[in-house]
Amino acid sequence: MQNGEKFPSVSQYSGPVANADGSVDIYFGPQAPKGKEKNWIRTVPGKGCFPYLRFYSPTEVFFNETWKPDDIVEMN
Amino acid sequence: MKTQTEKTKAQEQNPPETVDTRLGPLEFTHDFANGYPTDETVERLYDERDFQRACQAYIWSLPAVSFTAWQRGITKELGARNGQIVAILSLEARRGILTANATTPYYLGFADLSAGPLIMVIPPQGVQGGISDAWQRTIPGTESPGTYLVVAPGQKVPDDVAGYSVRQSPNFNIFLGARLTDPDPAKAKEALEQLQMYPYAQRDNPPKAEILDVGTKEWSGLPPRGMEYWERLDDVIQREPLEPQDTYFHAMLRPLGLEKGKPFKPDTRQTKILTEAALVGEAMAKANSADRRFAGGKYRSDAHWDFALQLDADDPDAFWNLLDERASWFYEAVGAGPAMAPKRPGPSSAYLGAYKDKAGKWLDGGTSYRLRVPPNPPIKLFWSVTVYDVDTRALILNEQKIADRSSRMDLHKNDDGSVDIYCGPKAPAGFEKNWIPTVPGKNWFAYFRFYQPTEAYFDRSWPLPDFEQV
Repeated sequence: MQNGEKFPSVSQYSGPVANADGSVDIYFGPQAPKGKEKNWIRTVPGKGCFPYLRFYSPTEVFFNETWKPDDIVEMN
Repeated sequence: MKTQTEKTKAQEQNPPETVDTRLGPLEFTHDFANGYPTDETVERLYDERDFQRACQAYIWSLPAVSFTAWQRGITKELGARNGQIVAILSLEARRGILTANATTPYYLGFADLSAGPLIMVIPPQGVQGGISDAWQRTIPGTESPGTYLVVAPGQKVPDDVAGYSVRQSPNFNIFLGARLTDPDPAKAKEALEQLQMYPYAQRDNPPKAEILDVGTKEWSGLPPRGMEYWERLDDVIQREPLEPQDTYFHAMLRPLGLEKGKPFKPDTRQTKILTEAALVGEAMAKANSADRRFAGGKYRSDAHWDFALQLDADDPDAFWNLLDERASWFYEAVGAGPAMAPKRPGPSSAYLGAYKDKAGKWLDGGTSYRLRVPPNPPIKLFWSVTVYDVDTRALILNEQKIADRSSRMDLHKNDDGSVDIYCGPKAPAGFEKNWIPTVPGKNWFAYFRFYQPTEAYFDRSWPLPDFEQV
């Protein structure tokens, strides 16, 4: 997606901030929530979009479906 | 960065878009390129996808569904046992077959090989026959006299095949068609008594060859309409192997509930789509047969007569990949082989079809027409004109029980040797013998048959004019 950023992505390499339990929240939207800039991917008003969640060398919990990501939920 | 910001602002103004298409309005959350289809539009797109696929599946499946419907009529309605030869001689019985001729006797049988290989005997004299598979393709090497052992896919050829010519069928259901060639009735009868099909397992004690004479019983071997069409297609999908060239058709039918190894239980949505597609698919097939739009379809440019069978006798296998040409024949007819689309003189027959009159109007049962058959018809045996109902594509049903006129009959001839055939609700005075009665309120079409056509047919120097309104 052409959103004005160099890469429209967040990865373990880009250094997102983890929650206390080790989970990671990713934010999508035209503006970053305050303090969540490292966990944010900018989207563009007027355009639909979709994300890919990539697993490089996935392990057992991916295949047996015991590890599952949340749906994307709309924020107030 | 500035331009980027301006662009972003412009895109904020990107409102939902509705695109008008042949499917009706398609609604998107933004414009078509940037938006997703709305929930309602997604439903519409899936319904339309499945509907289009089902219409095309109708056109694709005609040879196999027609075969299965025919086999079902012979076994379930007429009660023929597996492999039994059936005699179809009367006009009433012939009306169960797509564009049957009204002249030559039909001896035919269907066999299911799923229980094991089958023996087929074509006697050395008096019968010309051959077998075709469940898609109505001729099985190579079955057309001369002999004792054949027919083996289905996955079946082991028995160890002892002495005395048999082994033939491999590409699928499990086959059809034997035969024609008597001996003019002597006693010899013809003798030949018929030797014509048979029975399971290899019964080779030591074969069943008595009893021909089932249908008499004047009315029955139907015609492809059905509505959901029954898809039920017959499901028979084909369940019984026969999936052939590589049909892979995508099978894939396209899966969302419609038609899948090998699974019971066909269409839900409300699938039933609605399939019911409509059986009608639209047939309407497309009707147009594809009655108004052919592929190259080389016409006998001559000065009249509407079409070659009914677009098979190249020098490359008959190629015909089975010509989707539209194949459908144009199998919507209205059965069986296809080189001897039905000859390119040079020999023991064959040729078929022309007419659907429109000289003025380009559809042939109609309430209108009277004359067809002038010019002198010196290019045939060694005989010619015939046969009239068919558009509804059934079978011999026309009229009170007089007359569906054809042929050069074998006592017809009134003109002084120059031409023959006028009249088709209409009433016979013109003095031409009763040349008349085929038609029925007001129904369209019809005609086949002109050449039995053993000669050179003037092949070089197309013999003209066959159109039906003309009188």
